[in-house]
Amino acid sequence: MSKEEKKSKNHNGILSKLTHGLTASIYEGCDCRSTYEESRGVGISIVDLNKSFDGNPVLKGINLEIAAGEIFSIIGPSGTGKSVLLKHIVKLEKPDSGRILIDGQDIYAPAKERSSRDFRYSMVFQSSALFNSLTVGENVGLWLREKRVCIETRIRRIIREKLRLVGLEGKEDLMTSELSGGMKKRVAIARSLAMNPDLILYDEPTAELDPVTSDELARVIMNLKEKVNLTTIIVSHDLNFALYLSDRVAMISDGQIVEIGTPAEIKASTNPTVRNFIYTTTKGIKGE
Amino acid sequence: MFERVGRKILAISQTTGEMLALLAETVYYFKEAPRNLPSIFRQMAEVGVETFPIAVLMALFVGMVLALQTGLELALYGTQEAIGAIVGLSMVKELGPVMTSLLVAGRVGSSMAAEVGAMEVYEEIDALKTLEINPVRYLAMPRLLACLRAVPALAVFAVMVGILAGGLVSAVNPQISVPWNVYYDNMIRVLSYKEIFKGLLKATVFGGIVAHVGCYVGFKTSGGARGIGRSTTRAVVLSFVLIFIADYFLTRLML
Repeated sequence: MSKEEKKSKNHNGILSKLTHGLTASIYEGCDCRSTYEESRGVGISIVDLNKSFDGNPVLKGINLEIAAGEIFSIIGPSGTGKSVLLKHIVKLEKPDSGRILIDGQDIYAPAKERSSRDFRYSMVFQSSALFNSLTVGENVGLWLREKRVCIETRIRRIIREKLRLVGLEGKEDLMTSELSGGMKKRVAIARSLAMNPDLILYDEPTAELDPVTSDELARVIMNLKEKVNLTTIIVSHDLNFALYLSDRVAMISDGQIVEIGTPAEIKASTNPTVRNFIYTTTKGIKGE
Repeated sequence: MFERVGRKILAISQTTGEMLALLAETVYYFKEAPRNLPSIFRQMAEVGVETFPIAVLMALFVGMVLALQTGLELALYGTQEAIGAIVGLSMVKELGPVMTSLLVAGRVGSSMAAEVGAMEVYEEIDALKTLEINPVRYLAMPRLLACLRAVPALAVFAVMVGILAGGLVSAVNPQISVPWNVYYDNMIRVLSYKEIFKGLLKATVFGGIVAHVGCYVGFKTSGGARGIGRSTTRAVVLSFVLIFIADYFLTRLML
């Protein structure tokens, strides 16, 4: 078998899948793992997901299909289970019942029943969740260094690239305490992007941001959609932000999905819960 | 009442189980120590270098008080020459390791609980998990290893300073008036390598307790700024209690 054939076989085989998910990350001495450079959107199926806290049901039989490469928003009032649903997708919470399949793989199946993860995901937290003891650059490069994905010079290049993508070029050496709320959010996005994720999740990305910064953030997410092939899930109660960005939107209320559709369909929905949410969110000018 | 006692017993059993599980996981990640050396050294600097001045100050006065009180009592019976042995043994076997560990628990253990607790409250631990970085390996392992190394080192300095301070008081105080060479000879006669090893072993175990409790309490933090404050206090109290319990059992075992 020639070298090229071997390479091609590896690329399509289990090894390629494993190294794409970087489940077996070890330093290989190359400039960068080839599979790190690629990212692909992943499809997500949520089947009959239920979760209670202290007997209080938070998610009640959630069913969702999110297509690969899609920007999908989950909207709804505060305290209806949006963030809990997001945490289930990244395995920070365990469901009482139900399944979540990413690219057809049940992420909660016992380890021996599923193959190693072959996708990368990252999450941008509501509070940004930056590590205060690290600089901006160290925050962005943390995953790359911990997983030893690349050599140090390449890691520094990636950090610069990702910070440029979110409009924070040259801010590598700042401490996170020196950043504004909007800048922190953008660093958190850059940190997530450093993984070249196949799936990125945003938890209330516009919370605590002024309208101008929210708009900038929307542009960053739209840019990413154009440049990188990844699936995006946004949880927000900022209706305008969600409708502007998303390919499809789901509305969650009282732990249940009450409506799914394109932004236009959601706006035209006759569902009273959706209409109530839309018209209490965008009030317009009093008296107009 | 029975229900309350039962609940308390269940809570203690749960805490003990969780602490043991965390300890096992932290020890498991010792194998990853070489790739976490910068973090371990940073923690060692925080535990060792930054606690050093206050540890020395504490040891200085502990040694002086010990020599003064014991020396004056011994002088009543004309046996003050034995003061070197008493101060030496007390500092090496008990006061050096215990006082240093209590100091580290108050200064470092509380800050570990606050730091890890703040990370828990502000979703940084969740962020670590989504970055596929195990929080126990990233946070607890370097802290435990750092304390296991730095606390005995601090105890060595504390013991040396305490002994020197005791010698100084013994020589200078006119009622005790034991010259340095008599003080030193008496001390050397009773201090064996075995005693020094016992003291170091105690300091190592106590250092481990401080780091482990700080991390465990930090990981269990919830409830915002108030929760962080509660964790800080809880870490100090729990460390103190466990240090005293461990001190008794170690002393009993090494008799």
